[in-house]
Amino acid sequence: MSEKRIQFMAHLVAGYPDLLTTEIMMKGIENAGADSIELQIPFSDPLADGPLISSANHQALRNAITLKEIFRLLDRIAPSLPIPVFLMTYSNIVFQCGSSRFCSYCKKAGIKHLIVPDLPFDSKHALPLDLLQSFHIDLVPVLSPSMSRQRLDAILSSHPRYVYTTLKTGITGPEEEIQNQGFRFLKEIREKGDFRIIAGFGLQSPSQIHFLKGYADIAVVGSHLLRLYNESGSDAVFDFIRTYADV
Amino acid sequence: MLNKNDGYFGEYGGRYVPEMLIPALEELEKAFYAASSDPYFAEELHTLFSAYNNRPTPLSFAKNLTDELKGARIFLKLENLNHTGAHKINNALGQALLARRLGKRTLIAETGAGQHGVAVATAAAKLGLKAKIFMGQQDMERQYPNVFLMKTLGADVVSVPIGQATLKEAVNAALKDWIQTLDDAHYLIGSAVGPHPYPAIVKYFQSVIGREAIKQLQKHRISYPDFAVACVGGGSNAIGLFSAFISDHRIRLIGVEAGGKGSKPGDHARRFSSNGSPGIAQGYHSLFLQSEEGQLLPTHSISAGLDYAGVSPEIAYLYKNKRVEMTSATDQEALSAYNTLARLEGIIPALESAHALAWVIKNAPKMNSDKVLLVNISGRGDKDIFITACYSDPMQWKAFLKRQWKGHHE
Repeated sequence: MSEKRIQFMAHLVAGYPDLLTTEIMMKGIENAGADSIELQIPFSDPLADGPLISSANHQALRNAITLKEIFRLLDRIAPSLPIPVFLMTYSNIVFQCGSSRFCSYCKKAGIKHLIVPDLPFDSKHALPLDLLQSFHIDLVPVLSPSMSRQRLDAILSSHPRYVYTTLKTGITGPEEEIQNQGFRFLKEIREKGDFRIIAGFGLQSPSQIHFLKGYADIAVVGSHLLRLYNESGSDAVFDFIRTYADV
Repeated sequence: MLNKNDGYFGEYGGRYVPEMLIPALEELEKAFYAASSDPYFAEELHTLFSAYNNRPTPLSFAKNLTDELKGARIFLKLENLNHTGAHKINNALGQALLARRLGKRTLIAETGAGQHGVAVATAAAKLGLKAKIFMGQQDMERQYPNVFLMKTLGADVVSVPIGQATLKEAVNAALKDWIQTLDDAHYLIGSAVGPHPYPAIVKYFQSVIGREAIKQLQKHRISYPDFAVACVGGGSNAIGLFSAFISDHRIRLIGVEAGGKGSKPGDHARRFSSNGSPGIAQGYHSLFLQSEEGQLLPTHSISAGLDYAGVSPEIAYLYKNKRVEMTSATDQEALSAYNTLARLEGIIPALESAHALAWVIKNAPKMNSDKVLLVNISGRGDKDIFITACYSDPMQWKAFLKRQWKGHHE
């Protein structure tokens, strides 16, 4: 069991409600003590996201946010940001940009971690390992407790540095307690190798995050931060992170 | 017995979904292939088709239309005579049986105009299952009569207020709900789209259309048609008709998509020709109407069933290999074909099917009378009365609606 506290990863939708806010939020989140940021590039059909994050995707797109503008922002602020940015988006955004071009954009902005939840490792458009390696990009596989152990082992055999797991079989959104199935799964993958485990989907209180100690290395908070932002603005988000980070 | 495949049609198709959905898709795939080789399942489906769904649907020689156009002989496959008025019920009943076989008690479905929703609500009622239908908020407002019918059939209709609040968002919402209820629910997708094995399943249950048509043509001493014509939204009625003819290259397969009101983005649903491009969305790889950066674009068609940004990966593949030819008809051409069929044949077709007829009306006169055109009349037009009446007789229709409103509020 690790003695350190669980690291805090804050999820943000790029361009929601606009890119200036994204920039302020990224800096403020870092300042409040978060350990990393999961930045989502908006997509018109975000299959794995709940209503709150989906709406933020659509709102960003209504404001005509483009991939170029997002990378321009990242070029400017990501390299000097003291915490890593994990870039998350859906297959089609990478596919339309072209995988090599997308990876080169990531490299230019100093992005080293990529999460694409709707791109299974065995699909025809899966990102080739050598391509990722040549751009020093680490693809973070998204796992699920209900997945077959055959698929799990196949994914883990590529020795990812990070794995991202869903704590319940469900979409991002509020969930009062983390289900036992989630804990059993975290324990199982912990024993399978030496990767950093990012756990998420439904976390909304510091105590829930503390429960993960020993099971996961990084807790990602998404919908809950978005709800705080929508209801009370960016300071509420920073306060939440500060409360956790100071404990 | 079906040939299993890996879920790809060339490069198209596949299973582009979060890992958490894959176990359910694998379970469904296994159950589907087992059912397709089980004579008991075939017997159950056949009984439902014949004793409940009114199959086989007739094949009708359209003599008056043929005489009027003075060209190819036109045969209509009357899928409009299915129970609930469209081919959608073939797939709804088939998948509902499959769901029951899997021990699922709830059917989840998306619906655009409400036709598929009504078919699923019907199948659920018949087979003793619950139905939960997701519908874009805007569609619910536009298509209230079908919302009412679904509720009458006992279904739970859930409004989706996200994004454009139409079919695309309803698909996303249905998939998300399914993710949360995998143990008890089957997601009954309405068209030949979505992640593997859905395109294969929908084709399987709709292929009855083409199979029947071949036999029925033989009664007219026609061994094969020269053209098989169908409208293409998601592509389920088209792949259902075409499936019987794909391997016979003497038959030209014509798909007609929605030309809408013009060629500007957002004014049509033409995914073929230069408008659409390969993309990955809603769990599958196919042609989509999308921006350069890969955001799906809004679409328009007078017919809700053709108003969709994606298309069957198999049809995209058949098009790429030049086996299926794609063309389009505008809103106006579809309306005109709708009126023509009503007046000449006494059949009021769905606006979707009217797109296929528009191609026939344009092209049959250029052909000799020894040519045979087979057209899928995928549905009946009653459902479109709030649209068609507004177009062709707006004053009278508005006056009627006003009278109805007053009648209820006095």
